[in-house]
Amino acid sequence: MPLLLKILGIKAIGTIIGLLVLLTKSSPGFTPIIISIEKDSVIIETSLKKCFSKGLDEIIMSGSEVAIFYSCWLFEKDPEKNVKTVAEKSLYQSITFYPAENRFYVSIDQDSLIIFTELEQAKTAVSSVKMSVVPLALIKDNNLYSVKIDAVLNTIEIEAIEAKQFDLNAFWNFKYPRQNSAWVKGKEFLKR
Amino acid sequence: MSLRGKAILIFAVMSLIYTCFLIAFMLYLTTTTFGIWENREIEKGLVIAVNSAQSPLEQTQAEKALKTYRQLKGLRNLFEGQIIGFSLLFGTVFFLLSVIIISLILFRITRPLRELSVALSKAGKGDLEITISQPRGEIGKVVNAFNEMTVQLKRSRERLKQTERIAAWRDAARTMAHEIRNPLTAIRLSTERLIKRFKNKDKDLPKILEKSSQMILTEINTLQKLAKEFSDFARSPYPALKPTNLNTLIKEMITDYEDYSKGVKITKILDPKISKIYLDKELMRRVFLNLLKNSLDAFDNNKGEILIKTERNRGKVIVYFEDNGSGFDSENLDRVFDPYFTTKTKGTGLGLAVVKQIVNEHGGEVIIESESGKGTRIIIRLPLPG
Repeated sequence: MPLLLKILGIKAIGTIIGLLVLLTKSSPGFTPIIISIEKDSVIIETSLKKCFSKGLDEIIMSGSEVAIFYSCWLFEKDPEKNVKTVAEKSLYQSITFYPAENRFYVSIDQDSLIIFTELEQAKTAVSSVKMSVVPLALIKDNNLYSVKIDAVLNTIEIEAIEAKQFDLNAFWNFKYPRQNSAWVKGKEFLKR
Repeated sequence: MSLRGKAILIFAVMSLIYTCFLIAFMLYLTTTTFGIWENREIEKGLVIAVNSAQSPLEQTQAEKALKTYRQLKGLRNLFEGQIIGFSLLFGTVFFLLSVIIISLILFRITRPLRELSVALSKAGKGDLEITISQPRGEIGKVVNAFNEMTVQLKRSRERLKQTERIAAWRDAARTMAHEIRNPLTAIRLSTERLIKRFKNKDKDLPKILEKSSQMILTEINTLQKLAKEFSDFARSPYPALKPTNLNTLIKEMITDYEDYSKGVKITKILDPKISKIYLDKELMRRVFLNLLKNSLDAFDNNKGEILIKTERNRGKVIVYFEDNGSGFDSENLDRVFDPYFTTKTKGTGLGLAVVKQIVNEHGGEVIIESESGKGTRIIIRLPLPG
């Protein structure tokens, strides 16, 4: 059995199987990115949908830390159609269950810690993203801007398997959720 | 459905059944192996152990056990889904590969069988020139037997043709000898008579000379007519087709032979809707004349009835030639169109053979219906233009 688990943990097989599973059930994805301005910063907001399956819930309930690494890029396109990356940010959010306390500790970017008693509330918190990407001053009127975000799960330790380490992205069939926003003019940002 | 189709269908169904069994078996294995995780009591027990641990060490150990239990429970859920996915993937690939391989194998096996089937069909239609390349194995033996069979059949056919040619020549020779013998005998007798009377200086010699000369000339005419008939039959007439009014042709033929058909009632029902059709007038005239003569020969003392009818039907012109004469015996019906076949005491037996040849040259067909003592009906079908 441990060998089989190891095999199933291999990315390649997982991807192939993911293609099949895709036919039968939907994979995790982001909601449309909302771009707003707060305190002279460009803020993006989005959340992950269908990212927790029964199996992943059990991993959370086991007390293993389940973390989602979000990576965000802001791209700029000038009138000459040259594209460059203006900003790159990452966000780490995790959920840890303490069976003794029967509580869920959600860490947002290692800055704040929120405690929940219900699993669903904890999952909602960990799968919601709101981050400041870039100061407004860097936005130019006539350039176009687009935001890209993706998410990745962490690796946990499982004593029962030979390899000890297990990549939780297997629960996503190694299909990392990704979202791109449409190109928006800098003027639009400034209006908001 | 073809053999190949059936084989592929059977194989596909078997692959599907196999895949279903595989999935069911893997799920059964999963359920059996991971059955422990169906037991909620174990999990409950571990939770209680965590909550009621007496010491930090106990709590740590209980938490570790619960952690491991729930981690594996989570992996089990993942495992189940991926087993199904893997089985489906494997089953699909296996199924597709199997179908491709079995198709290729069956194609190799059935190709020689298809060739054999086509060759047998052609051989059945008379084409014995066909041979098939010989594959290896059991099918090769069958193909080899077929090739040998066609060779043997070809040889038999050649021998049969040869025998038939000889038989036909014999028949022709017999008929010709019979037809020639009678006039020659008459000529010989007349000549001998003349010589005898001349030697005896018979006073009736002039009268006898005139009478015998007439007889000799009549028999010479008969021989000439015979020679012409044989000659005409031997030379295949290629019809010179021209637009011709069939009804008018029939009426003209009847009028021309009125004298010979006195005492016979001839009824004509000629369809006026028949427009001109492409005919060789002289050849078709001969056809109707031969039919008329045959009918007249079938009557006793020239007493009888003949019905000639024309009609247009399904893109063809049909001519019916019926009489209430002596008819043909059923055992002779198959041979009436054979050259030199005759039931009459006199005649070359070429009349109906000529009719059939001319009608065939016009792209038509001729059929006979007859009953001994009741009469005969000849049906001629000719194509309409366009």
